[in-house]
Amino acid sequence: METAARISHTSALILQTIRSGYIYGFDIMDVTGLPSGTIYPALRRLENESLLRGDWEDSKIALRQDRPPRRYYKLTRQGKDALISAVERYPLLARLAPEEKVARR
Amino acid sequence: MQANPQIRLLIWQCKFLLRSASLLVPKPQRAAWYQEWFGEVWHWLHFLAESGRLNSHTSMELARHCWGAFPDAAWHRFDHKKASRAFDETPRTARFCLSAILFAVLSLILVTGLAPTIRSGFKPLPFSQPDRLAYLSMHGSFTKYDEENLFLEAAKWAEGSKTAEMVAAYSWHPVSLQFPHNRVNDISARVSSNFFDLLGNKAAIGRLFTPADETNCPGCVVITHRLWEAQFHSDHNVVGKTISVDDHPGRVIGVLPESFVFIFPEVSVWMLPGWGTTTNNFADRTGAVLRMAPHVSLAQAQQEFRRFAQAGGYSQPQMESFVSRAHQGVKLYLFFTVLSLFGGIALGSSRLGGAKTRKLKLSFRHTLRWWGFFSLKTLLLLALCFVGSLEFTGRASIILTGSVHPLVGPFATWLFLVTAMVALSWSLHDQGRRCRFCLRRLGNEASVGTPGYLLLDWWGTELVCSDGHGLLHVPEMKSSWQEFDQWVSLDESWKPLFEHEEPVHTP
Repeated sequence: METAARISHTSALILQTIRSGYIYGFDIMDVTGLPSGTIYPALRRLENESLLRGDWEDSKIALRQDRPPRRYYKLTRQGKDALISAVERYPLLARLAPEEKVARR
Repeated sequence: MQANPQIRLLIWQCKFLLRSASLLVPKPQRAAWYQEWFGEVWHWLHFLAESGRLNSHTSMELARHCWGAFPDAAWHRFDHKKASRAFDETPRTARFCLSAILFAVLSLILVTGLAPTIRSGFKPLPFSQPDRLAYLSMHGSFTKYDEENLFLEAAKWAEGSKTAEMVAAYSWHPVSLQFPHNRVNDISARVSSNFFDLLGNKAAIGRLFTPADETNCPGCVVITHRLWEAQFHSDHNVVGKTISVDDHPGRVIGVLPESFVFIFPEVSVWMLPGWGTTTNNFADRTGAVLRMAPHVSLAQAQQEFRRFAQAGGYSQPQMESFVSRAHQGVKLYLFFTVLSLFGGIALGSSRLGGAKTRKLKLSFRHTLRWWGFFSLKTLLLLALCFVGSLEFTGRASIILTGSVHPLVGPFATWLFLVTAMVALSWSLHDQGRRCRFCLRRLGNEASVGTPGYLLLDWWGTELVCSDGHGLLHVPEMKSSWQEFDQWVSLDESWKPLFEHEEPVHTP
């Protein structure tokens, strides 16, 4: 396994939230309580550093439901490793972890 | 999906904000960026509407969410790491330091209305043959003189003098001026009837005082150009109008030229000795002005008039020429600037001397940059202190007391001295904390050593140049006055440690 990246507490919280199934910007904001001006730039940076991968949902589905498509985020392998090492470094992060999301809204 | 009017309006508002923010995003990424944000907002809004939670509070939250698009868009345009580094590093540079001080000086000049007190010192004197003019000022803490007696004495001095052609006395007071629509606190001066004749001034409008006015027109007043503009709205028919000075009516006979300034620019009404109630006045507010005879030196006039003044019972009379008065402030500034620069260079050299012993070899270019930066920084700081002291004290006195207090001059000088010393100390301290090569302010302070091992080892603080030029060791306790901060230059082998590339995966 590669050496896990050292990430900030905020980044770790965002990764943790995504891993729990909250996979788009608004959901992450809602769960973490962080403002949009923090969440979105952090998502871009994490994506640039290959800890996250953003994918657009199928546009046909969105078109059929007459709504704009959304962008979903998921953890990469490196992101998962970084999160494991962050949870060891920030033990309180486990307490802040949101419950697993049961079903997508 | 049909949206109700409230949702349509909110979507339109959000679209407007998002479109505005998207202008910051580089063009190739703009469409995808906008689509993601709009998708989020659209879903959120419909979720709120469908769950019955759409109200003014949640609409405000949505607006806050949309404002967050601006920082996100900004980070697309500007590299986050580079921007953070620039934010951290730019204030450390020498250029930033000089620009900040220059900005402070220019702001101060603008705030004070282009430094009127200092400007008046540079203007040519508004008198004919000013090199033949001199003034005799009285001094003494809380000493008061009878005004009427001073005017009589001045007339006697003129008769008995061998060095002066004409002599006129003056005495100034803070007064309250009543105009049809307002009342202002200003400064007036009582002067001998030959005062303006002696100075060689002519009126801009109407006429100035003549000796006959003392008997024919004791209630006549002459006003300054500033007062004419401000209170009479530049009315060319001002002559003959009435002005109330301390509730005594006075008739305006003339307006002085715009360039006229005597002693200080705040005097706005000029009156004759017999006007109103004659009182005792403070020594610092009284004096005499004289026009010396041709080929008479200031020293000769000084000798004669000191004798006259002492015989009349006036203590500490002092005579100065008008020319020296006009340039006194500038001379004071130049004197302290030169003194500060020499002192600063002497102190700075000794500090560098300490470093020299540890083989610091600066090239001629680096040495020139080092001292050039120090000199320019100190000059600008002293200019800031000079402008601040002179303009601040004058303005503060007018605001607090309604007049220019006699102590304003000495207070301005002392304030300049104190602020100049503080500025010089800071300038030296700042210089000592800068890299000897790139002039950046050193950072990354680290405490090194253990206090308990002071006798065996070194204890102090280490500061590092962010470009890796060297380290500065600042001892916590100096064992002698000759012990200075120690600069250690780092060679090329240290360079990789100071590369500006950030380690990966540190969002």
